[in-house]
Amino acid sequence: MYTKATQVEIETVRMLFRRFIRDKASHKEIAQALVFIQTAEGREMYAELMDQEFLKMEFEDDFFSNRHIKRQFAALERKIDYTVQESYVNTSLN
Amino acid sequence: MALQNFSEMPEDELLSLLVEGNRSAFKELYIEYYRKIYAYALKFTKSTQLAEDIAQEVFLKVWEKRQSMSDIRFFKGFLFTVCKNITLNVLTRAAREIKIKSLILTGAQKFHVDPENKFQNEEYETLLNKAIEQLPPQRKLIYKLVKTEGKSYDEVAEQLGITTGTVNDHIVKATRSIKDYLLWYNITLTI
Repeated sequence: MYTKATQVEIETVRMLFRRFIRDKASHKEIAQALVFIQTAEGREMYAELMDQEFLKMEFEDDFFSNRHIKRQFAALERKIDYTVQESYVNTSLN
Repeated sequence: MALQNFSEMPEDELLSLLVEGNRSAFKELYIEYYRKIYAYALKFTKSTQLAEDIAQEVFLKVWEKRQSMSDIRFFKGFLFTVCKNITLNVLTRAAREIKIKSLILTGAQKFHVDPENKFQNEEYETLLNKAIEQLPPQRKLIYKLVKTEGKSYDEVAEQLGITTGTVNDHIVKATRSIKDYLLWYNITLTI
């Protein structure tokens, strides 16, 4: 059980995270939020809020064209191939 | 061997092929989910560049772990869980790594909703509408046709059977009247 003061602090941080997620946080608040998120409690709290917000999210599919996504996929394939090649070279050397 | 149409293939079949290392099946799953994963990462990091990097990282993990995909019951849920963890890792690093922090701060600025500004814009719109409403009927109509609907003076003149000079006269007087109305509220007409 948290003390009343701690409970208030928790609520303040939660509010800060919520403001960040909902694009309401100022520059200074975002910097503060990023410091809190470094702690285990902060990370856990942000993760909980991510789950809550996820349930409300409406996904708009108009971010990119299929062409852009295919280009991104080609970049990912190059990365995969490069990783495979690197690991093959490393194995051969050992 | 018959050509396979991956775009019409059910997800569980695509996943089975992915387990076998089929790149086309992987590509199909990527195309299907990339936008959603990107949108999710963007929502929680605010940076388009970080969101792209996170989305790539998610699918790289999928490829690396493809052999265990047969144990995954709910692929979409799995993707979002991986994305959530990578996003949290990136955010955790942000306080220490200047580059990530600056990407988040710059990205957040683009999305930031300034409540005061929003209120002022709404207030301005309301007062402007009131100012237009108090114009005499013919002048109000001409003002709306020109300023709201974007018609030319000639088009309005032809539509109403009046001269272009009369349209101009109405617009000049309407603008002056609206300016005076807004001045009572210390607001300057910006259109």
